[in-house]
Amino acid sequence: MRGEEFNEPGVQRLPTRRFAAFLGACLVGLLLLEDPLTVAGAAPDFAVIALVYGAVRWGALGGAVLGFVLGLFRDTLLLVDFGLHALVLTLLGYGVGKLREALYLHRPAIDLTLMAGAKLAVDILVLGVAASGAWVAFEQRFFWESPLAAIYTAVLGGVVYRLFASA
Amino acid sequence: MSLFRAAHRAEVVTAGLAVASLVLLALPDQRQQAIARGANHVLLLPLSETRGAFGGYLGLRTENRRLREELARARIELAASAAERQRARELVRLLGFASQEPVRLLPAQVIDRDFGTLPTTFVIDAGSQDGVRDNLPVVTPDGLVGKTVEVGPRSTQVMLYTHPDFSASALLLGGDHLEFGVIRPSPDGELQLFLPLRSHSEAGNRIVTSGYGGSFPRGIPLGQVVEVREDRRLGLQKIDLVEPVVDLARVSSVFVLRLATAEGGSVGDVPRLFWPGYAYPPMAGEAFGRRAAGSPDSTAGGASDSMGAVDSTAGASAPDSMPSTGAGDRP
Repeated sequence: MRGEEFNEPGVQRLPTRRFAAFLGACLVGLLLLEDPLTVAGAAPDFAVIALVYGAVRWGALGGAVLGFVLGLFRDTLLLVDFGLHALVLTLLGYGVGKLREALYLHRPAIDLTLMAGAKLAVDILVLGVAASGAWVAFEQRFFWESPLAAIYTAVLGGVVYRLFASA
Repeated sequence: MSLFRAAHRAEVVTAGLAVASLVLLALPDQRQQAIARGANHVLLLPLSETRGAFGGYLGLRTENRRLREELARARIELAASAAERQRARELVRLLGFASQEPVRLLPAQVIDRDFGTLPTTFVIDAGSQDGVRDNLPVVTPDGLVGKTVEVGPRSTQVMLYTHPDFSASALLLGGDHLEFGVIRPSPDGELQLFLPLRSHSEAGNRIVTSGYGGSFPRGIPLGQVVEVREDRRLGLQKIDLVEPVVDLARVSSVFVLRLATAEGGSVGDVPRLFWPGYAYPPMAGEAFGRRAAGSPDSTAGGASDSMGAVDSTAGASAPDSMPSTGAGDRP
């Protein structure tokens, strides 16, 4: 199973310009919308949304580069642990890109599963480093906010992507 | 070699990026922050400003929505509390009155009344446990309502000025004279002032309690003359029609006038009250009374003099002269 198979209905392939517009929308969301869209402490992660669809489209190499860029972007915004998001999203982009070669991407809602899993993985790595052994704080956030944020990110990302696909 | 690189390009690039990320992550915090701030200023400052503006817009929308909700809630509460506001205004007015009058006033609420065409009794929510006794004046800031007649532990029945059994010694405040009389309701509920035939009264003259009779101190407003009538039946007295100052239909809060004198005294010991906005009869009332009994003409003149003296000093001396009451004020 190679890249052509992700053109199945599960993850519809967007034309280049429309996909660029989708990435731009994710960038806007990353900059402007995450705070306003926070619900019960859980915020959607537009970097993960862009990364998953980018990695599915471009494969492991493209996913790694995209992850590094998005990670640096996120690190620049956060001003702490500079490089952490770059590292995590690089690895994640590579991993999702590799998975597209193995997964049955025509399965319905596979992109949602990828986004939810990616968000959980990001939180495990980032929160694990940020907590630095303060496991109580880690648990409090991971066992409530992270699952909620993962679902939130997956649903929102799926909706936005499908909106661009159907436009 | 090139085939290997092509086959594992993704892994090589990923590894290189991961190492670069680790290098960045391994930098000292100050260095990390310097890089982050530099990148933030160069690359993201315009976007951050946009974010700030957009965030401000979103904040305004959120605040606008919150304010709209608060406005809607406030409108509902406002409508629901109209009656409460009316009541609060009345209570504030009562408190203002209480603060001006140095007598001891016991506030009470009307909790029951007879619902006949003409109310003659109220029940108030203060009783003997609150210090209420029989025969105490009940007033509003406008004037006299009645007097207590049946005192229970927690409630008291008030005989209103419309009650057939009600009567009070009254003082008519003429422009240049005073007249003593008795005020009493007619069978059809009109308030009437009974005056000696030789007395002089005219429409607009105000009437206050005279202080005689032991029930009411001098100076509680009762009403004003609206029509001067002769007693055509006997021709021995005048019966003026009086418009009360207190509209009983609107009364919901009252004051019971408690002791303004030393312990053991009674309200009847208080010679006079300086009612807000009223010109008060002179304390030479008893002298006036003596002269009135002997010489009506000289009475008018004496009353006029006395009245003038009181008027000129009432405003300044009223608050200080009231609290300690009567005995000191008596001639």
